[in-house]
Amino acid sequence: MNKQEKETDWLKPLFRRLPAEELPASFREALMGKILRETAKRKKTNERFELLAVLLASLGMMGLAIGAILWAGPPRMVWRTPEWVSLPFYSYIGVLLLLLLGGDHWLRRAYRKRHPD
Amino acid sequence: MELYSDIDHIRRIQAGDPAGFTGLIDRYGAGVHAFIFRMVRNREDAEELTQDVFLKAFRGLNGFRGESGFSTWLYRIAYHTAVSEMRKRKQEFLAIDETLLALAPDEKPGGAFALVDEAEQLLRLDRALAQLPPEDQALILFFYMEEKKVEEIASATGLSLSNVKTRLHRIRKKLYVLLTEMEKKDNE
Repeated sequence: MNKQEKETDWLKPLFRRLPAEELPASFREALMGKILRETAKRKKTNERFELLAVLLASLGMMGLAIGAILWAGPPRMVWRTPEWVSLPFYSYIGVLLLLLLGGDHWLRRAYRKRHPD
Repeated sequence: MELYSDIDHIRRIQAGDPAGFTGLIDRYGAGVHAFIFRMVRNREDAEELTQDVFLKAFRGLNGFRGESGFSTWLYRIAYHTAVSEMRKRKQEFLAIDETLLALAPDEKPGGAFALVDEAEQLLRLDRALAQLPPEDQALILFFYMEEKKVEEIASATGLSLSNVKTRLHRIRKKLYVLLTEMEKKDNE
């Protein structure tokens, strides 16, 4: 049916006058509620899949390591204890680390007090 | 002219912002709902099915490649949803004798139909529509109520262009026969 035929079509004006049922006012809100719930659910499922993938990859790597140890035997390791002469150096590094950690903690607390949000 | 096109809304959703879907609901919600309501003839069912259509569209948006327009794609979902709902109801539809169809002219039923008031004409048209098979109802509603082009109807229904044209022609004749039959019954 071409455009001109459609214009003179007897059904066209009849269909135009058919009363249309209005969409309920709450439709959009209800539908968006469902969509947002579904999006949150999908996000959660994806996160679970990602966690499972990480877990499986870790287990795989651990299995591979155990397999390699069983196949090639345990690696030879030599344990060395640090010499007493280097004790002051390690002590200095340890104290510095504690001081820096304490400073970081104190600064963060001060910042949170100033910016509670 | 709309500020954002369908593609703008779709890109926003595909980028992870589901709020972009409100634009598509505002643009197509009323049309899809009117089409489904005219098919299922029940307010609650129509609302639920319209929600289903939009939810299916939302779920499938990641796979939407834009080969056809969003509107055509959405109406394809609406068509399948409405037709499958109607089939589930196992309602019986009228089978019209082929000879009656062949004899029916492609014009407005005359006589009493032309004389009855508008409200009665619309009531009869509504009753005649209800007697058509769901696929026929959908096709005629797409063409007249949603004012879709034959190409869009073909894309939405999966029928060929010539098939859509032939079917529309036959549906018009069916409506003519049904409306004439109603006229006869009323005169008896």
